[in-house]
Amino acid sequence: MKCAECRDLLSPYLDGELKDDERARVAQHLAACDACRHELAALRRLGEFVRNHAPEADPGDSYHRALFQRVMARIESLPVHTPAKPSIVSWLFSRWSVRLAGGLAVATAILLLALRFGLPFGASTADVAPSDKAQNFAAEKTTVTSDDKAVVPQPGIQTQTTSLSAQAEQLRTLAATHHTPRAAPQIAMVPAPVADLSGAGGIAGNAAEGAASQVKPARGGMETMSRLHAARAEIEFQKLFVLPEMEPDSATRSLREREMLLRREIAASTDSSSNLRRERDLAALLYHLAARTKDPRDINRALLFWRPAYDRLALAFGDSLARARMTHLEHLVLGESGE
Amino acid sequence: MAVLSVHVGLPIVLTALVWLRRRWDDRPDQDIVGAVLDGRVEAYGALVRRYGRRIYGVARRVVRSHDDADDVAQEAFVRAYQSLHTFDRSRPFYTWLCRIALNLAINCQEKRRRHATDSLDERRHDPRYEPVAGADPSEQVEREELTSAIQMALAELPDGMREVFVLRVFDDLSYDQIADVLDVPRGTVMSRLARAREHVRKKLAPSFGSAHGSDRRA
Repeated sequence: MKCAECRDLLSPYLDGELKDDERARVAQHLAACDACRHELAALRRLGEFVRNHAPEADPGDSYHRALFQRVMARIESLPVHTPAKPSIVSWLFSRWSVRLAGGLAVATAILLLALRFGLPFGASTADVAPSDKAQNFAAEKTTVTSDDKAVVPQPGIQTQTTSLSAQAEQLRTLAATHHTPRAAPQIAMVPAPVADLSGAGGIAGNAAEGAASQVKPARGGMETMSRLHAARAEIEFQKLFVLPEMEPDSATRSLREREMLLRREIAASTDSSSNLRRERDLAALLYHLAARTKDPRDINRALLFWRPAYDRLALAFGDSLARARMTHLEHLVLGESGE
Repeated sequence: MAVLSVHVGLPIVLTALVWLRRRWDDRPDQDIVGAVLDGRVEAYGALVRRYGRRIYGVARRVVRSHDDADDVAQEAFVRAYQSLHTFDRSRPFYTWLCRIALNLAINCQEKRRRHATDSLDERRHDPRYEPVAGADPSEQVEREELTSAIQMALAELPDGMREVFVLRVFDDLSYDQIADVLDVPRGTVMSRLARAREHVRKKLAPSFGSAHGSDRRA
């Protein structure tokens, strides 16, 4: 190994990032070359020097506590992209490690309540006169469980059940009274719709109008799809931001700038956008991405994701452009699958 | 009896609740992410506690301002939370989070450049710039000069090199992790880091030489 080659490898050698054979070669050269050994020593000292004398970058515990509180305050006010929260009971008893604590807390709370309010724990259930609704509830319970010993629920449970049933009934009545079919555009679109292909791994390109002119529906896009696979993208179609009023292209640029870090493909529209314009933006984006895929299975997968969006578009604005493009994509899948 | 039960029971309940709240701190990242996605928002706090210092540190090295680094760190955690459902749990959480923070930091830097409002805010919150009571004034000056020289050398690193240098030297990430954060090949990390070191070394040659000399004298 010559000195020039050795110097190129000194940095990864210092970091322990060379493969075994390269490391051995560098070590062999260093053993015989004073100049390169001094170079390595200088590099090592440089790292220590920079670490020791660089500006301090830790503002201290109080700052980090404040950061924690600000972050938690912000995320607690955000919509969560998750299923609904589990009930308090399942939350308390969800992990082995917390069952004891959860059980203890619940038991203590019940004990405290019992002592405070003197609930009749010792009283026979026969002492309790259930209401007619409670009897119905108990009868249902018995029927469902096929239990010979019909157990009358505690008064508190009856009350809650009745109350919940009543509330549900009220809600159903309310919904039936006030339900009117909404106009199609309200169902389909939101004021600032954004097609969000989260984590779609570095796909570049013009997302808005004009994308259609760049579309090459045939093959290509191998790199795009490999990145998509690497990111294991979950493709979504959702509204993320309500933007101030601006031109759709500006809105798209603004959102892409904001979301550049997440490498999302975005199309945006605003209140002032015409329905046709919204349709064109979104359809162009979706078509653009689908047409750049290579594997028909990927296109098929994309269709499964995007079909609801297209259906909403078609429902809202008529199916002129969206329908034609969807048909074209389906043709691509069918045609290429048949090959 | 009721008073006794309150005195005994309440501490038990409170202890249990505190334990429930803190129980995530010892769990692996992937478990915490799963819990958050299951709706347990409070579990996310463990990730903020775990990585807050590192994320702030990386941001601070890149944006060179406490206020900007604060914004970047806070925004990074919020964005990560918002996008948690897209996170691939087979991969490390920190590199994913760090990528978000670094991109925010780079955007912040670009905005600063565009608006030409880059300031020397670094000094404001840096205890090294605070006068130390009883310290030798000449040593104080020398320390400030060294710190400024390093700060300048880092600031003058070309884009791409600075991030690699910061992640390796200050955050101690491996080449593979840096490649993951920056979404570049490992070979690119290797070459950028070697060039960054050379760059910094040249810039620091006078200070580095004198400091090293004084160290040896000491």
